Amino acid sequence: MNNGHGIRMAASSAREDPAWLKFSLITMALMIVGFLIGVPVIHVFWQALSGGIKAYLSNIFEDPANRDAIFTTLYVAPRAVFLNLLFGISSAWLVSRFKFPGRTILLTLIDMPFAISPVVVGLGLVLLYGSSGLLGPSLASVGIQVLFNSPALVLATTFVTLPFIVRELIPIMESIGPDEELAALSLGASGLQIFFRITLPSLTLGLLYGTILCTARAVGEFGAIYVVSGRIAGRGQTIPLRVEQLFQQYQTPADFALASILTVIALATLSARKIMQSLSNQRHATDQAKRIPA
Amino acid sequence: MSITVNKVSKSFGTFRALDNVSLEVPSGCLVALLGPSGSGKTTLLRVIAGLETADEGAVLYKDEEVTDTPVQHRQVGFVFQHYALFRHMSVFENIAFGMRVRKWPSSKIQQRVTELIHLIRLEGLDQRYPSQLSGGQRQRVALARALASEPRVLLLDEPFGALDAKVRLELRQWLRRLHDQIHLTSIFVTHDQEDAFAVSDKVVVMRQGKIEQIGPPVELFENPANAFVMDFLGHVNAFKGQLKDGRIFLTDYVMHSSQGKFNEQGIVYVRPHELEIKGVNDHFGSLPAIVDHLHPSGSCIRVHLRSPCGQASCCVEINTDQLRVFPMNVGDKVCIHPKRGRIFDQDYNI
Amino acid sequence: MIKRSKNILPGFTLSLGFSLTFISIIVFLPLAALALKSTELSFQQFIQTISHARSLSAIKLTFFTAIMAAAINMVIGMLVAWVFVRYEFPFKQWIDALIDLPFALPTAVAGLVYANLYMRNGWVGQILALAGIDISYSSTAIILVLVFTGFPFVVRAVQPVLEEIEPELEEAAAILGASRLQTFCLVLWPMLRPAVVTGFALALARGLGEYGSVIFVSSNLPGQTEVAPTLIVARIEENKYAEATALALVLLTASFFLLGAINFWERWSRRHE
Repeated sequence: MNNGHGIRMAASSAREDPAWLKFSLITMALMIVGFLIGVPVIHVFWQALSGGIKAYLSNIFEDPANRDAIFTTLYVAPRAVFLNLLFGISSAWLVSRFKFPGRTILLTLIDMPFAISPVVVGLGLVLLYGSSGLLGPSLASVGIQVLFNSPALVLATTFVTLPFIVRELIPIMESIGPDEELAALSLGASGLQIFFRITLPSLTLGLLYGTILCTARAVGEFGAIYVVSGRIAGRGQTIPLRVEQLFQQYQTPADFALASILTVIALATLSARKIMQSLSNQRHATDQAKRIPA
Repeated sequence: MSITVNKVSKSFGTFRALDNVSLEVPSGCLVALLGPSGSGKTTLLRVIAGLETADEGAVLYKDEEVTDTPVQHRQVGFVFQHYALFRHMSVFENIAFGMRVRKWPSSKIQQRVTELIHLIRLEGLDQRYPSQLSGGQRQRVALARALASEPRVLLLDEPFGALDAKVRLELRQWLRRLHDQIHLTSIFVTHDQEDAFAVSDKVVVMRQGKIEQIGPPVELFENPANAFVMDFLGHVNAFKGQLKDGRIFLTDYVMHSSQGKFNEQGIVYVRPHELEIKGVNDHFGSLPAIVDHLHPSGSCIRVHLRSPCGQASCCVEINTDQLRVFPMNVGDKVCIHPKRGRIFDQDYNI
Repeated sequence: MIKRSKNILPGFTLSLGFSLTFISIIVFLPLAALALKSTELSFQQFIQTISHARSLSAIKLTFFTAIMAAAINMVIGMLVAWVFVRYEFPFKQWIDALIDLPFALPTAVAGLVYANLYMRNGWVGQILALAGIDISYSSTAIILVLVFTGFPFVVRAVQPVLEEIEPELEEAAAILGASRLQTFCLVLWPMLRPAVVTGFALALARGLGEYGSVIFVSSNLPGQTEVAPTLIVARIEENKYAEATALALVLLTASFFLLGAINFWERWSRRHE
C-alpha cells in the first residue's frame, strides 16, 4: 500500500546479502581466525605468565643455555638484517631505475628464498662449506670455519630473509618514479647527494617496515639454522632452536617464556605495519588537503 | 508502461539527496533527468530502478507499486555510466546473461542475441571480449544487454558521459532512432543540456533533490520557471531593471557575486541573443558598455562587454550581418538594450 | 618511462656490482652447490633413492598434507577475505591485522603452541577428546599446522581483487535478474578464481618445505609420520648428502614448477583485461 509518509523497512539493495547469511559468515570467519590465530597467541602468554612475572623472568634468564640462545640471536639477526638492508637498497635502486640484461634473472633469484624449503637452504650451505664441500676445505686451510659456527648462521639467515626489504622498496621506488632524481641530477647533484636527499627520504616508511619484517623473520628462522648450526646447547643455538630443545625436554614453562619473546616481536611487526599504513594514508590525506585550489 | 514517482525522499546520512520528489512518466516517453552534480538525478534513477530504496514515498510501474520489489524482479533495463560489462564474458554471453539467469531456452536466447547484435550493428564481433571493443561499441553492448530480456522500462545513467564528442553525437542520434523504433518508456540521466535537448521528449530539471521544472526542451528554454533553470540551460546575463508597461528597462549592472544573482529583487535575466548593441546615447532603459572582446562561436559572433566601471560584464550574441551593419572594435563605447527579459519572483527557490 | 633514464642516473655500476656479488655469494653459490651435487647422482641412483620406502612415504606424506592444507586454506581463505572486505563488525581492522601473524611468527612457536594446545593433553585437545577426536601426532595435526602457516596466502591474494571489483557489476547482474548466488557464481567467482588459485599455489609451495612447525606436532616416525624435510635433515645428519640432495631436488622441482605455473596462470587469466 502506498503510505507516502513514514519510514519503511528497506528492501535489500542489489549488493546486500541477507542478514542471516552475513551473520553466519561473520561468525564462521571470526571462529576461524580465533581458533587458528587468536587462541594460540593467547595461549602463549597464558602459559608463559602462568607462574607470575618473577617466574617468567627467571625462566628466561636463569638458564645459561637460554641466555646463550638470546645472545646468539642478538648476534645473528642484526647482522643478517644489516646485510639485507645494504642489498635491499642497492638492488631496489638497480632494479627500479635501470634496464639491463639479466634483470629478470636477478629478480628471480631475489624471489627464490620464498620457493626453497629452509632445510634445503641448510643443505646447500652444508654442501658448500662442509668439510667435504666445495669451499669448506679451502676456507678451513685459511683458518675460516663457516659451518657449525656463527658465519653459517648469518649466511643461512641472510639467505632466508633476503627478499623482505627489497620487495618492500621496489614497488615504492617504481611508483614514485625517477623524475625527482633526474631533476636533481639536472640541477647538478652527485649520486650520493641524490641518494641521501631525494631517494632515501621517500623510502623511510618502506625501509622501516621492511627492516622490522626482516628482523622478525630473521629472529624466527628455524630450519636452515637447524641444519648448519652445531645444535649443541650453548653453542650455535638461536632462540627458536632452544625452544625446540626445551620442547624435547618437556620444560614447558621455560619453553613458553622464550616463545613469548618471539611472539611479542611478531605482534610488534604486525602493529608496525598497521601504524605505517595509517601513517601513509594520513600523509596522503594531508597532501591532498594542503593542495591550494587553483 | 508508465512510471509514477510519488513523494519520494532519500537521504544518505545527513545529505538529503531527494526531497519529496514526484514525477509522472507516460508510457513510451523518453525523458531526461537533467541537473548539476548533487541534484539527485542519479539517485532518482536508481530509486526507480530499485538499486536504492526510498526512505519515504512510492514508486509505481503502471499501477503496480514496486517500491518494495527487489531489483531482480522489477524487469528494468539499466545502462551504467561505465557500462559494467562482464569482462570475462564475450559480447554474446554478456547480452545473453539476463536470459540465461532467467532460464530462457537456448534457442530463444540464440535468436534474441543475434537479433540484438544486428540491431546494435556489431555483427561478427559477438565472440569478442569487452577489452577488445571501443567505448562506443561497449556502450552499445551495454544497451543490448539491458534490452535483451524485454524489460518494461529502460533506464540509462549518463550514457554518453565517457565518450568523446563525435561518438557522442552518433550515439545520441542512434538512441533517439532506437526509441522511435521500439517505443519503450525510457529515462536517462545527464548533466549535459545538449544531450537532454537532443534526445528527449521531456526534460526534468533538478536541483538539490527537488524538481525545478518539467517540460519539452523548447518550453524549458523559452519559458524557464525560475532563474536557476534559465541559468542552467544556456548562457544568461543578469542586470538590475524593472518591468514597466510590459517592457523591460535595465537600470544598472549587477556586480559579480555568486549567490546574490538569484535572490535579489528586481533582477532581469536576458539571454545573449536577446540583447541588442546600439550606438551611444540611444534608447532609454539601455546600459552603456565597452567592448572587451569579440569571437566567432558556431554560426554567430560572441561579443563580450564590460560595464564602464569595469566591475561587471556581459555577453551578447549577434550574427555576422548585424556586425556588418554595426561594426565594432575592442574599446568601443556602445549601448546594450534588451529585446526580451525575464524577472522571477525572488523567493521562488527558497 | 624507464627507457628515458636508461643508465643516466648514477650508481649503476656500483649497485650492479654489489648486488650481483651479494646475491651470488648468498643465494647463487649454495644453489650451485646443490646443483653440482645432484649431477653426481646418476639417474638410476636418483630413482633408487626416491623409491626407497622411507623416501616414498615421506614424499607422499609431504604432498598429501601440503595439498590438503592448501585446499582447506582455499575455502576458509575465501570466506575470511569475503567477510573482511564486504561486511563491517567491531574491531575489524585489528583482527584483520592479526591475519598476517603466520607470516611474522616463527615456525617453532607455531609448532610449540599447536602441539601444546591441540594435542591430547592440551585445552582444545581435551575438548576434542570428548568428541572422540584425537589428532596428536597424526597427519591431521600436520595438516592443521600447515593450515596455520599458509593461511594468509589465500586471504591476502583474494582481498585486493575483491576490493577492486566495481559494485556496478553486481548491480548489473541483479538488474538482469540474477539472484545473489547466481551473481556470485557467474560474475564474481570467475574474477576471483585467479587470485584464489595463486593463493593456493603459494600456500602449497610453503607447505611443501615446512619444517619448524611440523616437527613439534608430528611424531616424526620414519615411514609413517615423517615429512620430506624431516627426512632430508635426517640424511644430512647421517652425512648421506647424495640422498638428501635427491630429496631436496624433488621439493625444489615441485616449488619451482608451482611458482612458474602461478605466473603463467595469472597471465593467462588476465588475457581478457
